[in-house]
Amino acid sequence: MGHSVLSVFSPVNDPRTLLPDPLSNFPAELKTALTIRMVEQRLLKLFSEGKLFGTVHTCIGQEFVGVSVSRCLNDRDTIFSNHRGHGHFLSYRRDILALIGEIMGKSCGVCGGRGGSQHTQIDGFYSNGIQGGIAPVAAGQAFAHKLKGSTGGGGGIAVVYIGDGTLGQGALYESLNIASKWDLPVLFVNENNLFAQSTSQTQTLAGDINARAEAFGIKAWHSDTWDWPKLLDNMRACIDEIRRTGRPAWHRVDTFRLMAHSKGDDNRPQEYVQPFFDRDPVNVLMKRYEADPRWKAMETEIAAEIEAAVAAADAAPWGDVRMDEHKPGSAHEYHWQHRTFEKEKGVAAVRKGLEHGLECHPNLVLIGEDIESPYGGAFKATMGLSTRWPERVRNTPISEHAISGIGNGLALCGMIPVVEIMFGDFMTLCADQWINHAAKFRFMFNDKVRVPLIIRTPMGGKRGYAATHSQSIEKHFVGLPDTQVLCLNHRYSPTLLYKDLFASIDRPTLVIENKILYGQNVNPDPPPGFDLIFTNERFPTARLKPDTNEHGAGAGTDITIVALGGVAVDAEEAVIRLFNDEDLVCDLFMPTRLYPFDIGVLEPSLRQSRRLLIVEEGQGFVSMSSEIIAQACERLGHLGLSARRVTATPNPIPAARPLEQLCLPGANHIVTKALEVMREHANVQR
Amino acid sequence: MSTQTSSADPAPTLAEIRVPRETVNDDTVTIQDWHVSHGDQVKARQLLVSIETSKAVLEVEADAGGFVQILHGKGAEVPIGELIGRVLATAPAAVAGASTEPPRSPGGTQPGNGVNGSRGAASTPVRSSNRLRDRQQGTVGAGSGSVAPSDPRADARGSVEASADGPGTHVLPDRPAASLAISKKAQALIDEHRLDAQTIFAGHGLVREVDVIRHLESRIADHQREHPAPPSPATIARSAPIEPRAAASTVNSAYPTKSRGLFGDAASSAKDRGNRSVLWLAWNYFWRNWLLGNLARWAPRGVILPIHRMRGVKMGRDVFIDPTAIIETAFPENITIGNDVRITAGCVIMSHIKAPHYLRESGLVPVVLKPVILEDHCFIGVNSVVMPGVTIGKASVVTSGSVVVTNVPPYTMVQGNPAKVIKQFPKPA
Ligand SMILES: Cc1ncc(C[n+]2csc(CCOP(=O)(O)OP(=O)(O)O)c2C)c(N)n1
Repeated sequence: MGHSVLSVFSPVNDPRTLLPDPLSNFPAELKTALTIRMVEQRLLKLFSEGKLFGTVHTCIGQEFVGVSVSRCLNDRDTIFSNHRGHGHFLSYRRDILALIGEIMGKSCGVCGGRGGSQHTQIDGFYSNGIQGGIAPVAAGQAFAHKLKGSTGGGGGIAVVYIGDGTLGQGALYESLNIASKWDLPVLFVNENNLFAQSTSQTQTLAGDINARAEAFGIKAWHSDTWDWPKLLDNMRACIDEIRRTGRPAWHRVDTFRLMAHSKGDDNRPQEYVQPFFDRDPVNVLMKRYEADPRWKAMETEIAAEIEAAVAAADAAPWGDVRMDEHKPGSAHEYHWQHRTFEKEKGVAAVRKGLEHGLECHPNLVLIGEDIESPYGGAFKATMGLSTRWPERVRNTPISEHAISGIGNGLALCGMIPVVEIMFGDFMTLCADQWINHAAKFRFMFNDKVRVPLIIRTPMGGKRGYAATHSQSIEKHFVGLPDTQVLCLNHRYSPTLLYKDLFASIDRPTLVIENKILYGQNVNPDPPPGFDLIFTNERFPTARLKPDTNEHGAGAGTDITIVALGGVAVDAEEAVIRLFNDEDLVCDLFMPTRLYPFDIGVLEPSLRQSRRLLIVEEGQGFVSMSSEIIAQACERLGHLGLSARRVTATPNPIPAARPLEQLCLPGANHIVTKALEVMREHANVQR
Repeated sequence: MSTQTSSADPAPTLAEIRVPRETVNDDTVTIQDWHVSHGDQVKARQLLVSIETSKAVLEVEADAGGFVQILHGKGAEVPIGELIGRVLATAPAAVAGASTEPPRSPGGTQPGNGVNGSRGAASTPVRSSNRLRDRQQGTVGAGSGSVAPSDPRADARGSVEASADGPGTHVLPDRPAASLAISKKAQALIDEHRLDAQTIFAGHGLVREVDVIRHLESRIADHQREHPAPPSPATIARSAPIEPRAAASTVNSAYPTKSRGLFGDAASSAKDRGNRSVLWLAWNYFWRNWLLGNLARWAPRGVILPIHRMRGVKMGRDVFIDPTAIIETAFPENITIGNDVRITAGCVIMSHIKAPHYLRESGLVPVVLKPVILEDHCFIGVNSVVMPGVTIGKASVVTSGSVVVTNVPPYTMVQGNPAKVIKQFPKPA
């Protein structure tokens, strides 16, 4: 514990704190600051009384940061706050019941008790408990403001709060870089309170804070909460400048957290903390106005408001967790139909879909690495689009975390962001944005927001790109409620899929494209003896249905096969070989939606065949194929199903072609497993 | 390089024309257009062919002057590295329709192999010297790829909402006009029985072995119905193909892999035999196979033939069947015996194979039910076995102790296990 940190801050209060009468100069600001202080003190008391579930991060000592920012904002602006956001919230919207109700977990809370202390949302205000990940989201909001501003919609600015501990997060610097490069009107407010949880800044911070922002060409401001009148001035000047120049800014505000990080976890020595109590601006003001009736009246009024809020929240009912739509797995009636589309190369069909999106949806934005022409993306899917829509089709730096976060920010502001991740393997770098931001906002903000984020990425091997450019890792991204994961195959038009996606997008959507598919034809013509039909869903399952001379659903089917994504081509080859060589009839299903997945679509076929074979290019352990088999057993286990899977062998993907062929599912593997499942079936007493 | 020395093309190759790898996406590309014709004389650097990739249109020029030989015509889809033409020292032989050749399926060709495996030592790598003009076919705008809907707002609704069954969607017809696909096993049976599959199975999609078996079964049944008197074997063997039964309901829907079916499941057998009652069926089976079958084995010679006829065996005149011969144990109606046939002591004529459950259902030994035909004047020597599906041609001899598994042509003598032709009789003029 470095005692020397005290010297970081000037020990003397600026004489301006001793203004003749701050209360008459800044009545609103002081009232907000005092409200924040009193609400949080009451929260700590509620915690001690056992009325709070979980914990509270208070900002006692830091109130003037939020106050200084919110007074300069208008209703087009947005704020992204962090885990220590009560002060930011109350200075944005002085709704004590909304906050206290939320922290008490009641339905009258601003997020109905779903969000709690760290996850609040109201109008332009959002907060999330992930350090750093919120920075690109705010940059994305700024991008949206900028795009709207340029189309005459009146652009706002975005603000994000960053603790000094969060200066260790890479996403922050990815965001600073892009914000500067793209001239995004975003303000990074760095609340420099010297500690991250228990860790002193002296242990974690190298170099200079403001020099970091300046290195990106961003103007860095410096204020502190002790000289709060100067902070108010500086913040106003800083925000005015952002509005004037459209450029990002960085504002370091030195401050101090007087209470524990969370509750009861403060191990800073008393003699270290005490001096900060003495110079704390709210404490100083309280002391100064001790005998002032105006101050007393203000205190009484706030206290009454707080007590009323606590009583109201106490009496309020609990909220609920229902979402308004049908859950995956619930009964759905499937009708089958033919679809017509053009036979063309996969990449051309994807490009057409994107082009259609840009044409029909003025709020659609494409971002990604190397997507601008003449390069047009690593697989050429965006070729030519930036020429026609330079504003809305943009190259990004190599910053997968930030660009997926920018996607989230755009999505929150009513845009339709389409983020291209060059190789599916790099989705790992987007995992935080996908899992902790995109997937959670809608629910934890009590269904008040939608995140129409689209991430497109090619997965799959068979191109010799080896271990880090060939994997199919969709299994790590499926299964998050409120998201959907789609995949392309050679039997359904990517153009139609994208058209329908853009027209309906209301949730985070990952579209898994396939490297092999780009160069293959998307083909609407079934092979002889089969019919190609589709479910009547928005993202249909394509089915190569054997046309046997028996009638009724699935009649005469020996094996029901499900092929996920690009391997549908191999599965189809296997189906044809199994028929020609083995006299076996297979019913092949190729879903375009992996999550949510409903086994109901396979049910009639499975009832006939009672044999299930799933082909998946990724690893099989805890995967889509495990899920499908689990659902099949739960629904149809009484039929004595036999099931097999064809998945990648359990090792990273090797580079050499013959080695890769050993590892990834091909038609040979599928035929072998199909014969295996045929043999097993004979042993089961039906 | 073998192609250079092929007799059709004696002219020396001056340059090869290959498909270069230019994009990361494609394993196959399409030949958009040849700018020269087969046999044309070209100069070095002259534009030869445009190739469409998913990224751009590549234009390939001649590495050397000479005469163009086109191997893959306009519209063909060819793998990367494929030899699509040559520049020869002298005019090539006219290749019929070379420039309008239908697209050749890329088959299983590995793109890489095409380049490395067949590039001759003398040929220079085309890729380095071909000038590739990148036409950026993806450029959007008024170009061919553009979507340009008349009303973007309406189009923004996407294809699903836009139309319940508008363009792009139509309701499933009862049975699509699918072309036939015949499995190898089915084809073998079709060939064996010289069936006209396209007519018989018209309107079907996939034709499996079981479909052909069912057809044969129904043919026998129909024949029996139409000709209650013993037919001449020649009639059956040469009868015109019979149309598929109109009433699919008489077809057992789960044979042979779906249930114990034909043999174990009386109900489905009942369907096969025209929806007669199970009781009747049981009685029929008992009567034909157990009662009459055993009776035939003990009966005096004079009543053996009538008993077999009662069992359902179709038989001509002057037939001799030894009492110790077994003429099918379960499906005597599948056996057809012509005139003047002699089946001697200890022979077994079978029209079905039914392995135990495990072998059957695992598909290792499928159920077989195929008619057996012994044409006029055949002689089956003692202790011989004739297996399902076999036709023994007119005036042929199976010597003692043989096991006949394949058809025996007329006027032939076979011997052994499996029976092989050992002698051919001269056919009477
Ligand atoms: C990505 C992430 N890592 C770790 C945490 C746990 N955590 C919550 S608050 C905190 C300290 C944050 O310190 P700082 O950024 O200085 O903000 P302060 O709490 O001081 O306001 C930590 C480590 C988290 N919420 N998110």
